[in-house]
Amino acid sequence: MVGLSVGEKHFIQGGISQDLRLDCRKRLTYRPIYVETGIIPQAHGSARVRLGATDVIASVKAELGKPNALQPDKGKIAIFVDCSPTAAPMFEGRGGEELSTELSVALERCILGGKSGAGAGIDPTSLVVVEGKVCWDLYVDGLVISSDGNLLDALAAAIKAALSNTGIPKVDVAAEMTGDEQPEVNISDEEFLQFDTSGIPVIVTLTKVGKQYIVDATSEEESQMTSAVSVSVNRKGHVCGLTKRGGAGLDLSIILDMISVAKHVK
Amino acid sequence: MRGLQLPLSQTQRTRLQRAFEKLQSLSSKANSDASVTVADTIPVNYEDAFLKGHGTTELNGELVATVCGVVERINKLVYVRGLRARYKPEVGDIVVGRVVEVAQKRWRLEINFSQDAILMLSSMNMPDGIQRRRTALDELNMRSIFEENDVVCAEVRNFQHDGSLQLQARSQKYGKLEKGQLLIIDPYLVKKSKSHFHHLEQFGIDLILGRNGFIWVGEHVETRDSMVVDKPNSSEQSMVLEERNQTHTPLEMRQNICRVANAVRVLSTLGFSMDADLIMETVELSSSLKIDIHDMLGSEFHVLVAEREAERRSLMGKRRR
Repeated sequence: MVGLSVGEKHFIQGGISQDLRLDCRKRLTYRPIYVETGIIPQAHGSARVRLGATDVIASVKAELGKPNALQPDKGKIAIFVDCSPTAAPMFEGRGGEELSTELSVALERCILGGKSGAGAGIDPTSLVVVEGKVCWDLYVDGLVISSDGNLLDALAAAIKAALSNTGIPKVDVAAEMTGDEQPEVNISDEEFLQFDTSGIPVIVTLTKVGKQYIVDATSEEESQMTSAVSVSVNRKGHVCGLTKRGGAGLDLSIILDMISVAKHVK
Repeated sequence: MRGLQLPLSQTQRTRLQRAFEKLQSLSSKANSDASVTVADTIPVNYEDAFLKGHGTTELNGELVATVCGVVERINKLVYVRGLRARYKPEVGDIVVGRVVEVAQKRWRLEINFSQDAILMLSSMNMPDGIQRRRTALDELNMRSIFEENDVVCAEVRNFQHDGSLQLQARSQKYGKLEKGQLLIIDPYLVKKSKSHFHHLEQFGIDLILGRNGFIWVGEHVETRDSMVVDKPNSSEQSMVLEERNQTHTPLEMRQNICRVANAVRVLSTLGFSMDADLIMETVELSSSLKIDIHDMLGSEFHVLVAEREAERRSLMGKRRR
């Protein structure tokens, strides 16, 4: 990330306070979003989202596995994000790991809900094949190719698009199974189970710069931020998750204000 | 045309295609054989003695290009000039750079070249304007002139024997650039012209076209000759500086800056050479059609600009004949 001189930083802050950002967007305007699905044929579902210069790819792979003993009627979903070194030189080697874990955790929280599974965007019970024995494990992987700010929003959009593109193969379970034996399953080549993605929330990130918040910050604007709140809102307008980044504290009223702005933007 | 990442509807695509074809047909005659891609044979008369330059190699007795670019011939030298290459500096070029390091008696600037350029302390005017030897105290106070990440405008002075670049900023028009934004485009789009500093009067904006592809658009700064400044004014100036830190650029000027910046972005996406007149025309086109500043980056405006440029060039061609 290139540094910014004092004059430029001042210019950016002035722009935001006057509601005219560097590329002439308003504070609450998004950059044009381009979504492509089905770009990785080997994966069960995939999507690529471009938000200005930010470029991310999400892919979904499904494998058969054994469900958790504590929750025998639910499948498992794992979300993992990797920041590629092509996005920024600081991501080389272990550099991108901190950002990756932060993004993965935030996405898991927003899309999968809390520990008890409440408020999840995807219903894990739809992933089970044989209760207690066989279930689908979904591995959702995100890859950041190019980073120009607002990675969380782009990744959430990519995951939603990838899941809508996912086709889970139909499974035939052989009859006659006893006790602890693993049942035989036939995976058909015809994939037909589509996911219901209407429940999956969309994340809106509000970045606070000075006294104002902006939506969809570029990396220059992000370098000026004091704090950022990412709100995940689903189709019904309910808040599914909240993540706060940044060192500065936020007054509670401001957080509530930001949440209402996020709902409005959505 | 490098993949335009714009959603174009069918009609827009055909219009853009037609505009580009028109532009191609209008361009000078040698162009069609001049552009080559990797492994294209370069048409050359093998009987004449010729020198193989950069970007060429001999393969199976034929001269083949190793980069994508345009074939240039100078006397007996045949070489291929790459298009997306880094900036190739020439002495006397105006460049805009960013300070990456403050070193002993010099600043190192990044200018989109293979090496960082050097701006010596002695090539820079002192803030009080007096011509004198630079003392050790000056060296310690270098940060008060330029810090890291400052945007600086300078001129290429010469090349060192080890290939690095030396800059100088001895005139009032060079120096630190504030209150504006820096745009990065491909260096080959900025051609050498009489003046690279443009003061757009009706907007009150400075436009500096650096030959390295860094374009500065910002508020107009009066270039004062610091030699003429006398004592009573200096205290006033320091107060003005404080105030400037508080006040922001007025909204109208900011809108103009944004409009010019977007015009530059549109022209660079379309691959047209940057020229102050062209930029002004694009800005006027957008304001005459009452296009919102943000929509200037949309596909419709790109198509309009391409068509306008094709028309303009055909008119120029007709006038010549």
